[in-house]
Order: sequence, then C-alpha cells, then structure tokens
Amino acid sequence: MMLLGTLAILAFAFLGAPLFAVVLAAAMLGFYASEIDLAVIGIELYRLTSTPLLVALPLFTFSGYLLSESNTSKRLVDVMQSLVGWLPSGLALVGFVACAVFTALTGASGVTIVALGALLLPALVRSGYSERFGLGLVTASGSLGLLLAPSVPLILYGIVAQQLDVGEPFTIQDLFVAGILPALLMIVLLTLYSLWLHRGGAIPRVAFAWSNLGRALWAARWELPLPFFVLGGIYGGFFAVSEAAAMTALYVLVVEVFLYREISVRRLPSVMVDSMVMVGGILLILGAALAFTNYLVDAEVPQRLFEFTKEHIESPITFLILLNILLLVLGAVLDIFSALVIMVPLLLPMAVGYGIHPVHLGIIFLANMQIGYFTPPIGMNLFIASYRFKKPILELYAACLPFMLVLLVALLIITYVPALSLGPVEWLRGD
Amino acid sequence: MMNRALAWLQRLESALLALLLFAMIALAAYQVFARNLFDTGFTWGDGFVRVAVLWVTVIGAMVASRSDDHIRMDVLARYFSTGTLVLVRRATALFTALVSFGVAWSSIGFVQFEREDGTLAFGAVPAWWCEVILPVGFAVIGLRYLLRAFVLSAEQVLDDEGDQGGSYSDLDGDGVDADGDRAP
Repeated sequence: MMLLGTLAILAFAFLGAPLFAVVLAAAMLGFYASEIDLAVIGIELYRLTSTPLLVALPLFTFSGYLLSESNTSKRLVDVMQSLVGWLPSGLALVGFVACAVFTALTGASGVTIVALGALLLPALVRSGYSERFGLGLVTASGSLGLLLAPSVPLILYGIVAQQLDVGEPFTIQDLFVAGILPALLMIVLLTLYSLWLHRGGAIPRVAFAWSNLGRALWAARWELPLPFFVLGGIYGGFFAVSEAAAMTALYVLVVEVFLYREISVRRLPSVMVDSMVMVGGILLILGAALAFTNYLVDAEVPQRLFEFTKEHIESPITFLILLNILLLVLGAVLDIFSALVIMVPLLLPMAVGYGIHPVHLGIIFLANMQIGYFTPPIGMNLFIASYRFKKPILELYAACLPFMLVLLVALLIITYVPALSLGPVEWLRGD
Repeated sequence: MMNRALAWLQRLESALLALLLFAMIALAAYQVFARNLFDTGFTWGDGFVRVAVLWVTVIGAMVASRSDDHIRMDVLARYFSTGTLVLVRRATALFTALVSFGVAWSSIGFVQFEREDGTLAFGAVPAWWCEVILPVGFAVIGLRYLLRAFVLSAEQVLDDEGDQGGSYSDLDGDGVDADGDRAP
C-alpha cells in the first residue's frame, strides 16, 4: 500500500503534477501510514504563520517585480559602464556586476537575461566581443548574484534551515555575509577568463569620462541609495530582515511610481497581483514541505539516510563531491525554490553529520543551483536565452560551456575552502 | 451564471491580493518608524502581518490554479505528442484536485476544533477566522483542477502550456508570451 502510493505519487511528479500537490500527497500518505489524524495537514500548513521572517519573501519579490518592470536595468548598466567600462574587458565586467546586482534584487527568475541581456548583448558585439562570448555571458550571468543579499532563495534557505534546528544556529545576516566572497570569486574568475580570452588588445578600450559618469549617476539618483539602504540597514542592525524588506518595498514603490513614473498607478495592482501569485506558488510548496518534513523527522528518515551514507561514504570530501553532482543535476531539473524546500530538510542533517556548517551548506547549495540554471540539456536559462535572442539551443550550449567550466572551478573552491564563506561571518562576530 | 460567479471570484481574489500586500507594506513600514522614532507600535501588527502572508500564499495559489501556473517538474512534457499531453495534463489535474479536496476536508476539522476552543490569533481576532482561508482556498483550487480534468476543452488545457511561473514568460515584451498567450 505504502509502496504503491509512493510509486503513484512519484509517477505524478514526473508527469508534471504541481509540486505542492505532490508534496502534500506524500505528507498525507506518510501521516496516514503512521496512523496520525489527517487534520494535522491543516495545522502544519498554518505553521506558515509562525515564522516572522517569512514576510520578507513577498515584500522583496514585489520590489523585484517593480524594479524589473521599470527602466532600472538600463540605468544600472549605464552606471556600471561609466564606472568600470574603461578597464580592459571592461564591458564584460560591467555585464557580470550588473547581472549580479540585478539578480540579487529581482531573484533569478530569468528576468535578468530578458532585461539586461537585451542591453548587454548588442553592446558587447558592438565593442568587438564575439557573439558567442556575448551569448554565453548573458546566459551564464542570468543567475549570477544568487548569493548576494537580499536574494530571495538565500532568505528561503535560511528559513528552511532554521526550521530544522540542526547544527550550529545562525542568522539570515550570517548568510548574507557568507555569500559575499564566493560571489566576488565568481565575478573575478569570470573576468580573468575574459581577460585571458581577449589578451593582446583584441578589444579596443574606451576612455573614462567624468561627464558620462555624472550623467549616469544623475539618471540613477533615486535608485542609487537602494543598495546602501537595504544592506546598511540590515548589516548595521537598524532593521531586521523583514523590516528591511518592508522599507525596500515602500521605497521602490515611491521611486518607480511617483519619482520616475515608469509604472502607472493604474498598472500597479496588476504588478502586485503577478508578484503575489509567484509568491503564493513558492510559499505553498514551502508549507507543504514543512508538513512533509515533519513526517520525515517523525519517521527518522534523515537520520536513517545519514546512517546509510555514513556506511558507504567515510570522508566529508567524498560526500561533498557527491553532493555537488547531485545538486547540479537537481538544479537543472527542479526550480530553485522547490529544490530548496524539498532537498534541504534531507541534506542538511546529513551535511551537519559530516561536520559541514549550515551556512556553508547554504552557499554550496545555491552556488550549485546557480550553475544548474544553464546546465545542458534543460537548464531553464538556456531556453529563456534561446527564445529571447532567437538562437538555436545547441548554439547556447556551446556558448555557455566555457562559462560553466569557470564557474565549476569557483564552485570547487567554494566547496573545499569553507573559510571563504565562514571566515567573514566569524570575523564579524568577533571570534 | 457560472461564468459570472467565476468572474466575480477572480476580481475578489485580485483585489484581496493587492489589498493584503498593500497592508503588509504599510503596516510593516509603520512599525519600523514607530519603533525607531517613538518606541511604540501596534502589538497586533506582527500577528496581522504573519496571517496576511498565509492569506497571500493561499490566494496567490488560487489565482495560479486558474491557468495551471503552479511550479512543477516538467522533464517529460516535451517528449509527449499533443494527444498524450492532453491526457497527461488531465490526469495530473485530477490528482491535484483530489489532493486539494483532501487538504480542504482535513483543514475543516482543524478550523472547527479551533473555533470550539476559542483560540485568539492576534488582538481580539479569533484564530479560526484566519484559518478559514485554508479549507476555502483548497476547495477553490480543487474545483479549478476538477474543471481542468473534465470540463475544459483540449485547446484550453494546452493553451496554458509553457507559462508556468507566469510572470516573466512574456520574453520579448510585446504583451504576448512564449506560447502566444496574450496577457490578460
């Protein structure tokens, strides 16, 4: 009965049933088999109200929608270009940094490729970069920045991991700090690759001009305070993460609707509804996963899973290699939010058993997911880029491959040098 | 009659979503100012915001089930023929409807229990008022998927293909998304 039910649920999952229904069905089957009253499902879903931090997700998502519906992407690229565009491989660097900042603010929903790629790709080709390099850059950078605050997946990892209450306790701020150096490492390695590829002055350099910088900064004057305001507020301890999310939403709303006037008051409700539908989809799976996780913990599944792996895998290093492979595959098949809420409850207890810090696991998890976004054959960003730039998917596989190899090197460093993530966290705590 | 009821429900869902989001922003921002400047704030504010998140979740999910926009693993769909795909979509819709009705049914028990218990959520608001969105929401989701399984035409079932996650599927910004659906 149990086996048959499990197989049926798995079959529906692979046939494309909504994941919230799949996870709820699994939870109900589990509770039923353990002879627990099914009213528990309602109680478990209502647990969504017991996490004060959760409100940060709808609020940051809404801010991200507002930013992607206005001309923020253009202003961001202009500022970056006038700031670092004069360096060798300057425009590539502009692309990496602009994509990272934009993705951190809007989430890696593909909007980075759509909004920034359309600006960057023609500019790159005009400046002498090959089209293949440009395509690879905008596709691979579409998920760069997932590790930077206030990215929604990073917050979601924190929420799920804190619910589990295993390993060392940590705060969302710790995650925000831990992501900084790994994200910088990726940007630095990608830039070095571009410098190496275009060595010998293949790309003509543009001169730095104060007037351009002045103009770009003036155009972006209302949005420039945003990063300082969000990050300063959180890191400086002025606001909790959920409060920073509310202030950001309010600030972005005023700026885009009343100062830039790029979103009309009449269009505002539809942006609100769209963003909340996205949030509803994610949080419903989170609620379902909370219920399912509770069943798993009751049935001691994570513990048994750990004992099983411990029998076959001794060293943390081997565990980490297998973890990376598993997550890369997962990142290409599952969307990042479902992967987080379904896999973290299974993986975190195991990782802690191998002595991996929960904050470090979070960074490894998201770095893998980031690469999974453009891993052939079915990484989501490959299809978005293929559609947006009207290029065959095979051309995109080829274009992304070098970027993927560079980011895999970064991933290995991030995985095997925990200090890169944890060092700054410990330093800030003063131990 | 049925169409009018559906249109009315859609307007109500959208209005509630926008209102709840607006209330969350306004209240949470007010709390920051009140706490930092005057050292005050509504004691019920935090409780309200948390329940608002639950309501946004369920209503957002209700809206997503209008056009089957829920997150799913879609690894096999591209290998099916059109006819098979319609059948598969109807089968998964029926599965989703049954699960949703199950959840709706089980949460009725929970709401009833809390009502008899007289638990308060925040301020003087009874907890069961906040929880009632669970059975209502899942019943609506179940009904929408039941329609998808048995009533919607094959064209309508396929029409909602590909705009999963919805919002950014309009890739070239012309108001028409990847599969030719015009934004409402």
